[in-house]
Amino acid sequence: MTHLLRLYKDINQLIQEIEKKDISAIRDVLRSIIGRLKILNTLGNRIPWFFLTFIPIDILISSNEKFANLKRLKKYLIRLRNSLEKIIVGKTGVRLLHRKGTYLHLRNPITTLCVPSGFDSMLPGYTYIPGRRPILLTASHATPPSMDINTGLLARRIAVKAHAHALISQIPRLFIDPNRMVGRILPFRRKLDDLINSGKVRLILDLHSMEGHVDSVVDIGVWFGLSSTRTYVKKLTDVFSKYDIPYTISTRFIGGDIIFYHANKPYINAIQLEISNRIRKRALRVLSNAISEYIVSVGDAYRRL
Amino acid sequence: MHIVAFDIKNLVIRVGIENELFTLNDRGFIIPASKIVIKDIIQDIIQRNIDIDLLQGLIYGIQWEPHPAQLEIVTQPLDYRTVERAIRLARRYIASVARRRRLKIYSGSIHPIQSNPFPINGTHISISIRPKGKKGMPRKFLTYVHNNIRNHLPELIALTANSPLIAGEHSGYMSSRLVFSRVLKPSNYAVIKRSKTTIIPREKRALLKYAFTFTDKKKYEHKVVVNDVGLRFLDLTPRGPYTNIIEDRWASFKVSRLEVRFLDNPSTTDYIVDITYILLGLALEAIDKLYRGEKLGERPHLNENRMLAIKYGIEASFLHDGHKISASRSVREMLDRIHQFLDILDVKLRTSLADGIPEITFYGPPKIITDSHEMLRNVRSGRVLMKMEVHSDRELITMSGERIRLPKGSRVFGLVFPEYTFEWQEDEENIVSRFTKIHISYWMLTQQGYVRFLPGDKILLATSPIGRLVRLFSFIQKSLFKSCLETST
Repeated sequence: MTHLLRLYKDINQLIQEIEKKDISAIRDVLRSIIGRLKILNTLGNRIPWFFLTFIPIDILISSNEKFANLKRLKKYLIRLRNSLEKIIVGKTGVRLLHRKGTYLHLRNPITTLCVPSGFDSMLPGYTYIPGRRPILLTASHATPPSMDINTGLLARRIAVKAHAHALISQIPRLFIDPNRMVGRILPFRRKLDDLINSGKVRLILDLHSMEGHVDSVVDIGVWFGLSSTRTYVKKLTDVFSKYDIPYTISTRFIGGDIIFYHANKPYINAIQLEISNRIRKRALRVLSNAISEYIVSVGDAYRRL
Repeated sequence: MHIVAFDIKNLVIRVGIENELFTLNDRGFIIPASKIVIKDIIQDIIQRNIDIDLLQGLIYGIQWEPHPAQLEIVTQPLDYRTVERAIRLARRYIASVARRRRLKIYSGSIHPIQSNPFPINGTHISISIRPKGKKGMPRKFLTYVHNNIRNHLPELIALTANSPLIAGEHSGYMSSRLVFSRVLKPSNYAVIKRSKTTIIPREKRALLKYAFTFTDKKKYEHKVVVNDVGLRFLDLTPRGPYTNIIEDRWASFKVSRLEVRFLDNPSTTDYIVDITYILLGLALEAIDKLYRGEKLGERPHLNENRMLAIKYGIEASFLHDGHKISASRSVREMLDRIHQFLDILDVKLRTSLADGIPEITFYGPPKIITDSHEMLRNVRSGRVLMKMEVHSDRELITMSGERIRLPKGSRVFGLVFPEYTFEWQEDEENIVSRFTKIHISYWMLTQQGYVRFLPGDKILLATSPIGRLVRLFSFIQKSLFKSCLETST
């Protein structure tokens, strides 16, 4: 933990030195970072696995040349710093993460990052609807069997209405679940990463459905407040209140891997919406109008920024 | 021929079985689909698509388990001759419901790849033997049956251990389930204790705020104690009114029974039934000893032999009176001894267990076949980021699904992940009894797309995520140094 905290401090310092453009200081910090990473590498198999769980895959598989430019390097370093923050927070709440093992699968690559045979026949396995506003609707369980009903339909409807981006998975969750850690290697999630990296998306709304025997129509998941700022949630709840849509916050669902992993990046917020599978026709239209209004107001606020 | 001291007609024997199962997709992967299966069963019940009266007579219920890929069949307390029908019917029915959703049921203890070490399945067998006219299994019966089965734990474990593989490799134990399960602590020698109080163990004080409770003066004063402080989750435990374990204590005499929890999941109904009969044989042997007034002491080296059985299974050598005896011989001796009790019950063992051969020996463990041992070693040790040179023309599947030709000799860098192809046997329809082969091939996720690894491809570099970051920062350091030099010149 100490080494992780020191590494975090060094990366933070490196970001500051890059801003100052002090080359000798940068080199000193880099030396320190390399030393700390080497120490971390000797502390057993678990630490690299933690890094693989928390650090964005595209940083790990990018070619070195991408980091040669100081401006671009700073961008990557900020993402790395955010990931380290998650490791530190995660380490302190490691029991919690283990309890939520079904969400994260904090195990090892041999059992977690693996796919069943015939995986290539299902590629690319998603539909993308481009939009104008920097908000992305994802429906990761939109394909039967065991699909989240209405989510694909809602994503399409809202995307068209509010000019948002939409990404709809076509791989059944019973084959590979895009909302688990293994899903990170799927084109669905790589596309999501691309959209974020290209700056086209600032807010992710991950749509799911839940059993309809509860009082609320929507359960909002924000990963213990780590995946989104309060402002976005407040705006969303205001819209739901305006439309008389009963909602709860993280009552039954805290969020899956999509909002956990992709909210690692700075300025990216992610919210999971668990929508009651009992709602039909009119209620669905009302919900679609409410989310569309939210997207328009948030999207336009981004544009003003 | 040994003449038994009891008349079977004067005994009432009841057996209940809890059998855990996994839901799999059609590729053999564990998937969280128990909810789907149970929902369909509920629909069947509502729409009366099944013979509810028949099922009700045999099955107590189908239970949720903590893992979303697990479900459990719980039978009613049944006559030992009926229990086979109950378990067979329930398994067949669940398998047929799963088939409608293109799912499969897996009846092994551990998934050879995805269990790490959890999720784990097990089978619990409850035995109740009482004299006719008594309401439930008396304390003395409970104590004798417990102690006799406990004395044979090494043999029984050696005979049933079938979970050597965890996360795609041999764990070093024949029953990984017994090593890694958090709920199977060894029980102690059972004694009947008179106690006015029940001490609440520290672990249970969140459940019951008391440090101890006074027991009813008339009832339950004499308890069958297998753990002094009443901790739950033992490998062998009395349940009902006579136990000192709070969670296992029920007021009704009818439910007085011994629950056997240490069994790895037998893969088929036949094996479940056979192991039930063996346990019944041991239980009757205990009753025989009780009727004869023989004392049933604790067997020497019990814990050592238990551990040896967990580690080596039937290949173990047990410690016995200062010398060693092979587990298989010890098992055969046990089977020979209980044979007469099985004759009294008028049952016969039908599987390899009859000859003292465990199913894992009879069928063999799954074979792991990999395209590259070097690759497997790297992935297991966390070096999942690799650079490789393809030795033949290859397809690169882009993120948009296009297939591009990658010429021979191309070098690619990315994250390597395994693809598993399973082969299995289904002894019962749509129930995977055991995996026979596991083929592991590899894919690489690069910036551009996916490349399949083929035997003959050269691994130029393999590193862990931290190793990758070290290389990355070293590169930045060098490039900065270079740019400084260029600026100064």
